[in-house]
Amino acid sequence: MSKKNSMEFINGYIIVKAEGLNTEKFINMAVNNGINLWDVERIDFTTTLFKMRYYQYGMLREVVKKTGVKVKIIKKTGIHFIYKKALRRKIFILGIGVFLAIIIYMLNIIWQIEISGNKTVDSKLIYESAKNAGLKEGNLKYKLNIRDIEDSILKDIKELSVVTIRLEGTKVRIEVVERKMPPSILNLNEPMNIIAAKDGIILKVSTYMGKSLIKEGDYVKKGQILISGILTDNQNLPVRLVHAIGDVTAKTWYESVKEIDLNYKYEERTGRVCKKVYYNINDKKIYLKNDNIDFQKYDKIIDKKLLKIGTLKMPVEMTTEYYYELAYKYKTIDYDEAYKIALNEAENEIKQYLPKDVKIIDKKIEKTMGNNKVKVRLLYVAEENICLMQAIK
Amino acid sequence: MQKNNINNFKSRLSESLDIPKDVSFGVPNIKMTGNIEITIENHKGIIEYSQNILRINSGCGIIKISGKDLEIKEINQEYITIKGIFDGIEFIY
Repeated sequence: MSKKNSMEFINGYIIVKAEGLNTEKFINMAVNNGINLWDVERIDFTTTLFKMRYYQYGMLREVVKKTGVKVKIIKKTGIHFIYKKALRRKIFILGIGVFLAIIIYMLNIIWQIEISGNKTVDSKLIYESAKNAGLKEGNLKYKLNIRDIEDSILKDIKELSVVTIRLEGTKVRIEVVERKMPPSILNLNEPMNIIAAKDGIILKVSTYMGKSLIKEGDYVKKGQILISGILTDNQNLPVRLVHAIGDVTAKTWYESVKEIDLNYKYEERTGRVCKKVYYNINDKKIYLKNDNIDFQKYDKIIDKKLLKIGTLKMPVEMTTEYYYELAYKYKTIDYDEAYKIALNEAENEIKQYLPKDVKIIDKKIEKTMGNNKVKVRLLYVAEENICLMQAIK
Repeated sequence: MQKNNINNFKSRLSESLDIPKDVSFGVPNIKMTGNIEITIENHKGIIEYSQNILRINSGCGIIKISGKDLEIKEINQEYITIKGIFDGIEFIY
Protein backbone atom coordinates (compact mmCIF):
# COMPACT_ATOMS: atom_id res chain seq x y z
CA MET A 1 0.00 0.00 0.00
CA SER A 2 2.70 2.43 1.00
CA LYS A 3 4.70 1.47 -2.05
CA LYS A 4 1.76 2.26 -4.21
CA ASN A 5 1.35 5.60 -2.48
CA SER A 6 4.93 6.54 -3.08
CA MET A 7 4.60 5.53 -6.71
CA GLU A 8 1.51 7.70 -6.90
CA PHE A 9 3.57 10.63 -5.74
CA ILE A 10 6.30 10.00 -8.28
CA ASN A 11 3.95 9.46 -11.21
CA GLY A 12 1.67 12.26 -10.13
CA TYR A 13 -2.08 12.33 -10.10
CA ILE A 14 -4.91 14.81 -10.08
CA ILE A 15 -8.08 14.97 -8.08
CA VAL A 16 -11.07 15.68 -10.30
CA LYS A 17 -14.49 16.80 -9.30
CA ALA A 18 -17.30 15.70 -11.60
CA GLU A 19 -20.66 17.36 -11.39
CA GLY A 20 -23.68 16.13 -13.25
CA LEU A 21 -26.83 14.05 -13.13
CA ASN A 22 -25.50 10.88 -14.67
CA THR A 23 -22.18 10.27 -13.03
CA GLU A 24 -22.47 6.46 -13.22
CA LYS A 25 -22.66 6.66 -16.95
CA PHE A 26 -19.79 9.08 -16.96
CA ILE A 27 -17.61 6.68 -14.95
CA ASN A 28 -18.57 3.75 -17.16
CA MET A 29 -17.69 5.59 -20.32
CA ALA A 30 -14.44 6.84 -18.89
CA VAL A 31 -13.47 3.33 -17.88
CA ASN A 32 -14.42 1.98 -21.27
CA ASN A 33 -12.14 4.55 -22.85
CA GLY A 34 -9.26 3.04 -20.92
CA ILE A 35 -9.02 5.59 -18.14
CA ASN A 36 -7.96 4.40 -14.70
CA LEU A 37 -9.86 5.90 -11.82
CA TRP A 38 -9.32 5.36 -8.13
CA ASP A 39 -10.63 6.57 -4.82
CA VAL A 40 -13.96 7.37 -6.39
CA GLU A 41 -15.98 9.11 -3.74
CA ARG A 42 -19.60 10.03 -3.98
CA ILE A 43 -20.07 13.29 -2.12
CA ASP A 44 -23.77 13.69 -2.89
CA PHE A 45 -26.15 12.86 -5.67
CA THR A 46 -24.61 15.21 -8.23
CA THR A 47 -20.96 15.41 -7.26
CA THR A 48 -18.23 12.78 -7.36
CA LEU A 49 -14.53 13.09 -6.57
CA PHE A 50 -11.96 10.79 -8.08
CA LYS A 51 -8.26 10.52 -8.75
CA MET A 52 -6.68 9.91 -12.12
CA ARG A 53 -3.50 10.30 -14.10
CA TYR A 54 -2.88 13.72 -15.51
CA TYR A 55 -2.04 12.53 -19.02
CA GLN A 56 -5.41 10.78 -19.28
CA TYR A 57 -7.28 13.96 -18.52
CA GLY A 58 -7.50 14.86 -22.21
CA MET A 59 -9.36 11.60 -22.89
CA LEU A 60 -12.15 12.79 -20.62
CA ARG A 61 -13.17 15.51 -23.07
CA GLU A 62 -15.14 13.17 -25.30
CA VAL A 63 -16.89 11.59 -22.35
CA VAL A 64 -17.76 14.99 -20.97
CA LYS A 65 -19.29 16.01 -24.30
CA LYS A 66 -21.50 12.95 -24.42
CA THR A 67 -22.68 12.85 -20.82
CA GLY A 68 -22.86 16.55 -20.03
CA VAL A 69 -20.98 16.18 -16.78
CA LYS A 70 -18.77 19.08 -15.76
CA VAL A 71 -15.28 18.22 -14.63
CA LYS A 72 -12.81 20.36 -12.77
CA ILE A 73 -9.33 19.68 -11.46
CA ILE A 74 -9.17 20.36 -7.73
CA LYS A 75 -5.64 19.38 -6.87
CA LYS A 76 -2.47 18.37 -8.64
CA THR A 77 0.02 16.20 -6.82
CA GLY A 78 3.34 14.73 -7.85
CA ILE A 79 6.85 15.50 -8.90
CA HIS A 80 5.78 16.59 -12.34
CA PHE A 81 3.76 19.48 -10.95
CA ILE A 82 6.43 20.48 -8.45
CA TYR A 83 8.89 20.62 -11.32
CA LYS A 84 6.53 22.77 -13.37
CA LYS A 85 6.01 25.08 -10.42
CA ALA A 86 9.76 25.34 -9.93
CA LEU A 87 10.21 26.35 -13.55
CA ARG A 88 7.86 29.23 -12.92
CA ARG A 89 9.86 30.38 -9.84
CA LYS A 90 13.31 30.64 -11.35
CA ILE A 91 14.74 33.14 -8.88
CA PHE A 92 13.69 30.98 -5.94
CA ILE A 93 15.43 27.95 -7.39
CA LEU A 94 18.44 30.10 -8.18
CA GLY A 95 18.47 31.20 -4.53
CA ILE A 96 18.52 27.60 -3.32
CA GLY A 97 21.33 26.87 -5.76
CA VAL A 98 23.38 29.86 -4.61
CA PHE A 99 22.78 28.91 -0.98
CA LEU A 100 24.02 25.36 -1.55
CA ALA A 101 26.99 26.65 -3.51
CA ILE A 102 27.95 29.03 -0.70
CA ILE A 103 27.67 26.27 1.90
CA ILE A 104 29.81 23.91 -0.16
CA TYR A 105 32.33 26.68 -0.75
CA MET A 106 32.45 27.54 2.94
CA LEU A 107 32.96 23.90 3.85
CA ASN A 108 35.92 23.76 1.52
CA ILE A 109 37.63 26.72 3.11
CA ILE A 110 40.13 26.39 5.93
CA TRP A 111 38.73 28.23 8.88
CA GLN A 112 41.16 27.43 11.58
CA ILE A 113 44.71 26.22 12.06
CA GLU A 114 45.72 24.48 15.26
CA ILE A 115 49.32 23.82 16.11
CA SER A 116 50.21 21.32 18.80
CA GLY A 117 53.18 19.40 20.05
CA ASN A 118 55.67 22.26 20.09
CA LYS A 119 57.44 23.00 23.36
CA THR A 120 60.24 25.37 22.52
CA VAL A 121 59.44 26.43 18.97
CA ASP A 122 57.06 29.33 18.77
CA SER A 123 53.67 28.51 17.26
CA LYS A 124 53.82 31.75 15.30
CA LEU A 125 56.97 30.58 13.56
CA ILE A 126 55.30 27.36 12.46
CA TYR A 127 52.24 29.29 11.42
CA GLU A 128 54.30 31.70 9.31
CA SER A 129 56.15 28.82 7.73
CA ALA A 130 52.89 27.10 6.88
CA LYS A 131 51.58 30.37 5.49
CA ASN A 132 54.56 30.69 3.20
CA ALA A 133 53.95 27.15 1.98
CA GLY A 134 50.37 28.08 1.14
CA LEU A 135 48.49 26.85 4.19
CA LYS A 136 46.54 29.62 5.81
CA GLU A 137 43.03 30.50 6.80
CA GLY A 138 40.75 31.26 3.89
CA ASN A 139 42.49 29.01 1.40
CA LEU A 140 40.62 26.29 -0.40
CA LYS A 141 41.20 22.82 1.00
CA TYR A 142 41.44 20.78 -2.16
CA LYS A 143 44.18 22.99 -3.60
CA LEU A 144 46.58 22.05 -0.81
CA ASN A 145 49.30 19.55 -1.30
CA ILE A 146 49.76 18.42 2.26
CA ARG A 147 52.96 16.42 1.76
CA ASP A 148 54.68 19.38 0.09
CA ILE A 149 53.66 21.70 2.91
CA GLU A 150 54.95 19.27 5.52
CA ASP A 151 58.29 19.06 3.72
CA SER A 152 58.49 22.80 3.37
CA ILE A 153 57.88 23.36 7.09
CA LEU A 154 60.45 20.72 7.96
CA LYS A 155 63.03 22.42 5.76
CA ASP A 156 62.12 25.81 7.12
CA ILE A 157 62.34 25.03 10.82
CA LYS A 158 65.36 22.96 11.70
CA GLU A 159 64.18 22.23 15.23
CA LEU A 160 61.34 20.02 14.03
CA SER A 161 61.75 16.38 13.17
CA VAL A 162 58.21 15.38 12.22
CA VAL A 163 55.34 17.49 10.93
CA THR A 164 51.92 15.96 10.40
CA ILE A 165 49.10 17.94 8.88
CA ARG A 166 45.59 16.65 9.21
CA LEU A 167 42.41 18.06 7.79
CA GLU A 168 39.45 17.79 10.12
CA GLY A 169 36.54 19.32 8.30
CA THR A 170 37.25 23.02 8.14
CA LYS A 171 39.99 22.78 10.71
CA VAL A 172 43.63 22.05 10.00
CA ARG A 173 45.68 20.46 12.71
CA ILE A 174 49.45 20.70 12.53
CA GLU A 175 51.17 18.28 14.85
CA VAL A 176 54.89 18.62 15.27
CA VAL A 177 57.57 16.68 17.07
CA GLU A 178 60.63 18.60 18.08
CA ARG A 179 64.14 17.47 17.45
CA LYS A 180 66.46 17.32 20.42
CA MET A 181 69.14 19.78 19.37
CA PRO A 182 72.79 19.04 20.11
CA PRO A 183 74.30 21.46 22.64
CA SER A 184 75.87 24.50 21.06
CA ILE A 185 79.64 24.30 20.75
CA LEU A 186 81.67 27.14 22.20
CA ASN A 187 83.80 28.83 19.64
CA LEU A 188 87.04 28.73 21.59
CA ASN A 189 88.99 30.62 18.96
CA GLU A 190 87.14 33.78 19.81
CA PRO A 191 88.74 35.64 22.72
CA MET A 192 86.28 36.42 25.51
CA ASN A 193 86.23 38.02 28.92
CA ILE A 194 83.80 37.18 31.67
CA ILE A 195 82.37 40.29 33.26
CA ALA A 196 79.96 40.89 36.11
CA ALA A 197 76.31 41.15 35.23
CA LYS A 198 75.52 43.02 38.45
CA ASP A 199 76.97 44.24 41.72
CA GLY A 200 77.72 41.67 44.37
CA ILE A 201 80.15 39.97 46.73
CA ILE A 202 81.97 37.01 45.25
CA LEU A 203 81.21 33.73 46.98
CA LYS A 204 82.87 31.24 44.71
CA VAL A 205 85.15 31.42 41.70
CA SER A 206 86.13 28.50 39.52
CA THR A 207 88.22 29.27 36.50
CA TYR A 208 88.71 26.73 33.73
CA MET A 209 90.40 28.97 31.23
CA GLY A 210 91.67 32.49 31.45
CA LYS A 211 93.01 34.47 34.37
CA SER A 212 90.91 35.16 37.44
CA LEU A 213 91.17 38.79 38.53
CA ILE A 214 89.14 38.42 41.69
CA LYS A 215 89.03 36.27 44.75
CA GLU A 216 86.38 35.21 47.21
CA GLY A 217 84.98 38.01 49.34
CA ASP A 218 85.69 40.72 46.78
CA TYR A 219 83.10 43.33 46.05
CA VAL A 220 82.51 43.67 42.32
CA LYS A 221 80.63 46.25 40.35
CA LYS A 222 78.53 45.74 37.31
CA GLY A 223 80.65 45.49 34.17
CA GLN A 224 83.87 44.65 36.03
CA ILE A 225 86.06 41.97 34.44
CA LEU A 226 85.94 38.81 36.53
CA ILE A 227 87.92 36.35 34.43
CA SER A 228 90.15 37.84 31.81
CA GLY A 229 90.86 36.18 28.50
CA ILE A 230 94.18 37.99 28.21
CA LEU A 231 96.99 35.86 29.52
CA THR A 232 100.04 37.79 30.67
CA ASP A 233 103.59 36.89 31.61
CA ASN A 234 105.57 38.02 34.64
CA GLN A 235 106.06 41.54 33.33
CA ASN A 236 102.33 41.96 32.77
CA LEU A 237 102.72 41.81 29.02
CA PRO A 238 99.96 40.09 27.08
CA VAL A 239 101.05 36.74 25.74
CA ARG A 240 97.92 35.43 24.07
CA LEU A 241 94.19 35.76 24.02
CA VAL A 242 91.88 32.94 25.06
CA HIS A 243 88.22 32.31 25.48
CA ALA A 244 87.64 32.61 29.22
CA ILE A 245 85.57 29.83 30.79
CA GLY A 246 84.50 29.78 34.39
CA ASP A 247 81.77 30.08 36.99
CA VAL A 248 81.42 33.00 39.35
CA THR A 249 78.80 32.86 42.06
CA ALA A 250 78.09 36.03 43.99
CA LYS A 251 75.88 37.37 46.68
CA THR A 252 73.54 40.00 45.33
CA TRP A 253 70.88 42.24 46.78
CA TYR A 254 67.43 43.23 45.81
CA GLU A 255 66.08 46.14 47.68
CA SER A 256 62.82 47.97 47.88
CA VAL A 257 61.88 50.90 50.07
CA LYS A 258 58.31 51.86 50.73
CA GLU A 259 56.96 54.68 52.77
CA ILE A 260 53.35 54.71 53.84
CA ASP A 261 51.62 57.70 55.34
CA LEU A 262 49.20 57.02 58.16
CA ASN A 263 46.76 59.20 56.29
CA TYR A 264 46.58 56.46 53.68
CA LYS A 265 45.78 57.39 50.13
CA TYR A 266 44.27 54.64 48.10
CA GLU A 267 42.34 54.02 44.91
CA GLU A 268 38.81 52.84 44.85
CA ARG A 269 36.34 52.09 42.07
CA THR A 270 33.56 54.65 42.03
CA GLY A 271 31.11 52.25 40.43
CA ARG A 272 30.97 53.98 37.11
CA VAL A 273 31.69 51.58 34.28
CA CYS A 274 32.18 52.09 30.58
CA LYS A 275 32.09 49.23 28.14
CA LYS A 276 33.49 48.58 24.71
CA VAL A 277 32.31 45.52 22.88
CA TYR A 278 33.69 44.57 19.52
CA TYR A 279 34.40 41.68 17.20
CA ASN A 280 37.95 41.17 16.15
CA ILE A 281 38.22 39.78 12.64
CA ASN A 282 41.71 39.80 11.15
CA ASP A 283 42.73 42.77 13.32
CA LYS A 284 39.71 44.70 12.18
CA LYS A 285 37.40 45.82 14.92
CA ILE A 286 33.69 45.85 14.49
CA TYR A 287 32.17 47.76 17.36
CA LEU A 288 28.89 46.72 18.85
CA LYS A 289 29.20 49.16 21.71
CA ASN A 290 31.67 51.97 21.95
CA ASP A 291 31.39 54.23 24.98
CA ASN A 292 33.36 57.42 25.28
CA ILE A 293 35.73 57.23 28.18
CA ASP A 294 36.00 60.45 30.12
CA PHE A 295 37.50 59.01 33.30
CA GLN A 296 40.71 60.50 34.64
CA LYS A 297 41.90 57.25 36.01
CA TYR A 298 40.53 53.79 35.43
CA ASP A 299 41.05 50.06 35.69
CA LYS A 300 40.88 48.36 32.34
CA ILE A 301 39.78 44.74 32.14
CA ILE A 302 39.83 42.99 28.81
CA ASP A 303 37.69 39.93 28.35
CA LYS A 304 38.34 37.94 25.19
CA LYS A 305 36.16 35.17 23.93
CA LEU A 306 36.43 33.03 20.83
CA LEU A 307 33.16 32.67 19.03
CA LYS A 308 31.95 29.10 18.93
CA ILE A 309 29.30 27.43 16.89
CA GLY A 310 28.70 24.14 18.60
CA THR A 311 32.20 22.84 19.17
CA LEU A 312 33.56 24.58 16.09
CA LYS A 313 35.68 27.58 16.94
CA MET A 314 35.33 30.51 14.62
CA PRO A 315 38.23 32.81 13.73
CA VAL A 316 36.30 35.66 15.25
CA GLU A 317 37.10 37.00 18.66
CA MET A 318 34.61 38.89 20.72
CA THR A 319 36.28 41.31 23.06
CA THR A 320 34.68 43.20 25.89
CA GLU A 321 36.64 45.98 27.55
CA TYR A 322 35.48 47.20 30.91
CA TYR A 323 36.64 50.54 32.21
CA TYR A 324 36.12 51.09 35.92
CA GLU A 325 36.55 54.63 37.11
CA LEU A 326 38.96 55.07 39.98
CA ALA A 327 39.12 57.82 42.54
CA TYR A 328 41.63 58.62 45.28
CA LYS A 329 40.44 58.37 48.82
CA TYR A 330 42.06 58.92 52.16
CA LYS A 331 41.70 57.01 55.36
CA THR A 332 43.59 56.98 58.62
CA ILE A 333 45.25 53.75 59.62
CA ASP A 334 47.42 52.68 62.53
CA TYR A 335 51.13 51.85 62.42
CA ASP A 336 50.58 48.12 62.27
CA GLU A 337 48.34 48.32 59.26
CA ALA A 338 50.62 50.74 57.49
CA TYR A 339 53.54 48.39 58.05
CA LYS A 340 51.65 45.51 56.50
CA ILE A 341 50.72 47.52 53.45
CA ALA A 342 54.26 48.77 52.99
CA LEU A 343 55.72 45.29 53.30
CA ASN A 344 53.29 43.92 50.82
CA GLU A 345 54.02 46.65 48.30
CA ALA A 346 57.75 46.20 48.70
CA GLU A 347 57.53 42.46 48.17
CA ASN A 348 55.46 42.91 45.07
CA GLU A 349 57.96 45.37 43.69
CA ILE A 350 60.92 43.07 44.23
CA LYS A 351 59.13 40.12 42.72
CA GLN A 352 58.71 42.04 39.51
CA TYR A 353 62.40 42.13 38.71
CA LEU A 354 63.68 39.12 40.65
CA PRO A 355 65.01 36.51 38.18
CA LYS A 356 63.50 33.08 38.60
CA ASP A 357 66.70 31.02 38.88
CA VAL A 358 67.99 32.99 41.83
CA LYS A 359 68.42 31.31 45.17
CA ILE A 360 67.36 33.52 48.05
CA ILE A 361 69.47 33.10 51.17
CA ASP A 362 68.30 35.87 53.40
CA LYS A 363 65.47 38.31 53.78
CA LYS A 364 65.89 41.45 55.88
CA ILE A 365 63.23 43.89 56.90
CA GLU A 366 64.05 47.30 58.34
CA LYS A 367 61.25 49.28 59.85
CA THR A 368 61.29 52.92 60.92
CA MET A 369 58.28 54.57 62.40
CA GLY A 370 57.50 58.09 63.39
CA ASN A 371 56.23 61.38 62.14
CA ASN A 372 52.96 59.71 61.13
CA LYS A 373 54.84 57.57 58.64
CA VAL A 374 56.06 54.02 58.38
CA LYS A 375 59.12 53.33 56.28
CA VAL A 376 59.95 49.75 55.33
CA ARG A 377 63.16 48.69 53.70
CA LEU A 378 63.02 45.15 52.36
CA LEU A 379 66.24 43.48 51.38
CA TYR A 380 66.60 40.15 49.67
CA VAL A 381 70.03 38.58 49.76
CA ALA A 382 70.44 36.15 46.92
CA GLU A 383 73.02 33.85 45.49
CA GLU A 384 73.40 33.75 41.74
CA ASN A 385 75.66 33.31 38.81
CA ILE A 386 76.74 36.71 37.57
CA CYS A 387 78.80 35.65 34.57
CA LEU A 388 78.40 37.53 31.34
CA MET A 389 80.49 37.03 28.23
CA GLN A 390 82.15 39.94 26.52
CA ALA A 391 84.30 39.78 23.42
CA ILE A 392 87.77 41.21 23.61
CA LYS A 393 88.46 43.76 20.94
CA MET B 1 -32.87 -26.89 -22.80
CA GLN B 2 -30.49 -26.25 -25.63
CA LYS B 3 -28.74 -23.47 -23.67
CA ASN B 4 -28.35 -25.79 -20.73
CA ASN B 5 -26.71 -28.31 -22.99
CA ILE B 6 -24.32 -25.72 -24.31
CA ASN B 7 -23.43 -24.68 -20.77
CA ASN B 8 -22.87 -28.29 -19.84
CA PHE B 9 -20.60 -28.75 -22.81
CA LYS B 10 -18.74 -25.57 -22.02
CA SER B 11 -18.15 -26.55 -18.45
CA ARG B 12 -16.94 -29.99 -19.41
CA LEU B 13 -14.65 -28.57 -22.06
CA SER B 14 -13.21 -25.94 -19.75
CA GLU B 15 -12.68 -28.50 -17.03
CA SER B 16 -10.90 -30.89 -19.35
CA LEU B 17 -8.73 -28.11 -20.85
CA ASP B 18 -8.10 -26.39 -17.50
CA ILE B 19 -9.50 -23.07 -18.69
CA PRO B 20 -10.74 -20.86 -15.85
CA LYS B 21 -14.51 -20.68 -15.77
CA ASP B 22 -14.71 -16.91 -15.61
CA VAL B 23 -12.99 -16.76 -18.99
CA SER B 24 -15.04 -19.41 -20.72
CA PHE B 25 -18.40 -18.37 -19.28
CA GLY B 26 -17.85 -14.64 -19.25
CA VAL B 27 -18.94 -14.46 -15.60
CA PRO B 28 -17.32 -12.22 -13.03
CA ASN B 29 -14.63 -13.39 -10.65
CA ILE B 30 -15.45 -12.02 -7.22
CA LYS B 31 -12.95 -11.88 -4.42
CA MET B 32 -13.85 -10.67 -0.99
CA THR B 33 -11.66 -9.70 1.91
CA GLY B 34 -13.81 -10.01 4.99
CA ASN B 35 -16.60 -7.51 4.81
CA ILE B 36 -14.42 -4.55 3.99
CA GLU B 37 -13.15 -5.04 0.45
CA ILE B 38 -14.47 -6.67 -2.67
CA THR B 39 -12.86 -7.03 -6.08
CA ILE B 40 -14.93 -7.92 -9.11
CA GLU B 41 -13.17 -8.88 -12.31
CA ASN B 42 -14.95 -8.92 -15.67
CA HIS B 43 -17.51 -6.30 -14.76
CA LYS B 44 -19.60 -4.47 -17.29
CA GLY B 45 -19.87 -1.06 -15.72
CA ILE B 46 -21.68 0.40 -12.74
CA ILE B 47 -25.39 1.09 -12.78
CA GLU B 48 -25.95 2.84 -9.52
CA TYR B 49 -23.52 4.31 -7.12
CA SER B 50 -24.33 5.88 -3.79
CA GLN B 51 -22.86 5.61 -0.32
CA ASN B 52 -25.19 2.78 0.69
CA ILE B 53 -25.96 0.86 -2.47
CA LEU B 54 -23.77 -0.07 -5.40
CA ARG B 55 -25.08 -1.94 -8.38
CA ILE B 56 -22.70 -3.39 -10.89
CA ASN B 57 -23.56 -4.96 -14.21
CA SER B 58 -21.83 -8.22 -14.99
CA GLY B 59 -22.04 -11.35 -17.13
CA CYS B 60 -24.35 -13.08 -14.66
CA GLY B 61 -26.73 -10.22 -14.13
CA ILE B 62 -26.57 -7.32 -11.73
CA ILE B 63 -24.56 -7.55 -8.53
CA LYS B 64 -26.03 -5.42 -5.80
CA ILE B 65 -23.80 -4.56 -2.89
CA SER B 66 -25.32 -2.87 0.10
CA GLY B 67 -23.44 -1.47 3.06
CA LYS B 68 -22.04 1.64 4.67
CA ASP B 69 -19.57 4.26 3.38
CA LEU B 70 -19.12 2.51 0.07
CA GLU B 71 -16.35 3.85 -2.07
CA ILE B 72 -14.82 2.71 -5.33
CA LYS B 73 -11.19 2.26 -4.53
CA GLU B 74 -10.16 1.61 -8.07
CA ILE B 75 -11.94 1.13 -11.34
CA ASN B 76 -10.70 0.25 -14.77
CA GLN B 77 -11.68 -1.96 -17.66
CA GLU B 78 -10.63 -5.21 -16.02
CA TYR B 79 -11.75 -4.94 -12.45
CA ILE B 80 -13.42 -2.80 -9.85
CA THR B 81 -12.43 -2.67 -6.19
CA ILE B 82 -14.90 -1.46 -3.63
CA LYS B 83 -14.23 -0.75 0.00
CA GLY B 84 -16.59 -0.01 2.81
CA ILE B 85 -18.53 -2.07 5.33
CA PHE B 86 -20.82 -4.50 3.53
CA ASP B 87 -24.19 -5.78 4.66
CA GLY B 88 -25.06 -7.97 1.74
CA ILE B 89 -24.35 -9.04 -1.79
CA GLU B 90 -27.25 -9.91 -4.04
CA PHE B 91 -27.46 -11.23 -7.60
CA ILE B 92 -30.36 -9.82 -9.58
CA TYR B 93 -31.17 -11.62 -12.81
